[in-house]
Amino acid sequence: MATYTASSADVRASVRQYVAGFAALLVLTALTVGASTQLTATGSRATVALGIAGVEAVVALTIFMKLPRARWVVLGSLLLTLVLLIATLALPVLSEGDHIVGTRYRTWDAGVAAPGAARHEESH
Amino acid sequence: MELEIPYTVEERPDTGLTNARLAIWLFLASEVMLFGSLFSAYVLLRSGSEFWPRQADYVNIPLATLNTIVLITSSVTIVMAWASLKLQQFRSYRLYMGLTVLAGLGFLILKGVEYGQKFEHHYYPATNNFLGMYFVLTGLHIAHVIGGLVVNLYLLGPGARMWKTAPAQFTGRVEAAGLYWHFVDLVWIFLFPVLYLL
Repeated sequence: MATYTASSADVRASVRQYVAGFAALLVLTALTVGASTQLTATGSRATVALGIAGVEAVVALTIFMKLPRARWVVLGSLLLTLVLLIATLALPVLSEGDHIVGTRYRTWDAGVAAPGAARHEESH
Repeated sequence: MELEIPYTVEERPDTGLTNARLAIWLFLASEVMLFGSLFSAYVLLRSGSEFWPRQADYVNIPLATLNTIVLITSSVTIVMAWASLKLQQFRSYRLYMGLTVLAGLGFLILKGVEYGQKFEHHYYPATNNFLGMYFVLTGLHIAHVIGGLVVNLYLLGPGARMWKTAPAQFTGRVEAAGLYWHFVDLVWIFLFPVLYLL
């Protein structure tokens, strides 16, 4: 119990950080929604939205989850996970871009409408 | 004979962590891979698709924005619940944990309304690739919210008795539950722009 009372001052200081983090997350959420309504190009919308989401993740990880104060075991495990995650994300993207010209089936080459497009039109 | 489990309160000398803290971080690392692989599937399907529907035609952005605010609020209330225990304020803990549970339930209700709207319009996972990914990703996230809610309800109700007998261990449990809940919030922070705003 003694350790609890000894860290009371730290906890009280942390509470102020939590409130600040909460306010920051609300502002960033509003920014994400605002930016998505202003930007029309998918590429720029994706860059801004995911960029802001990244900042939000940093706020949550540092303030609420206190990651910078985590031990090496935690940081090492998360770093390894991050490397594997990047590989997981990169492999399909790389394989998707790796086609021999003319080998990929494209429905519009055969003069057939994409099935998804037809269904989408039906729904409206 | 009673067997005492070591390092439930004291930190292991080699890792500097308690059992609960080490276990929850390793669990969260595996969860990153689970959601990461699904995000990867989304990128693959979208980048390789000849046609991708306009996502905004299928989703309810105001409702999802409200859900984002609800989940962010719950992240703050659960960390305040943990801080209350550290400050020996059990009544405040109950209040903040109760608010966290309410926010979690609110999230599920709003999600239920959103799913209801989809089904009314006959939008199902098989309708197109976007809706397939939408239902898989949000469905898995909902499962995680329900899991967190069950744990939080236990820590608010019967599990809270441990505060009288082993307060440090109980605080550690609330901390682990809080870390999991923040992760659930973190996943939603990425799901929201990817599924609703792009």
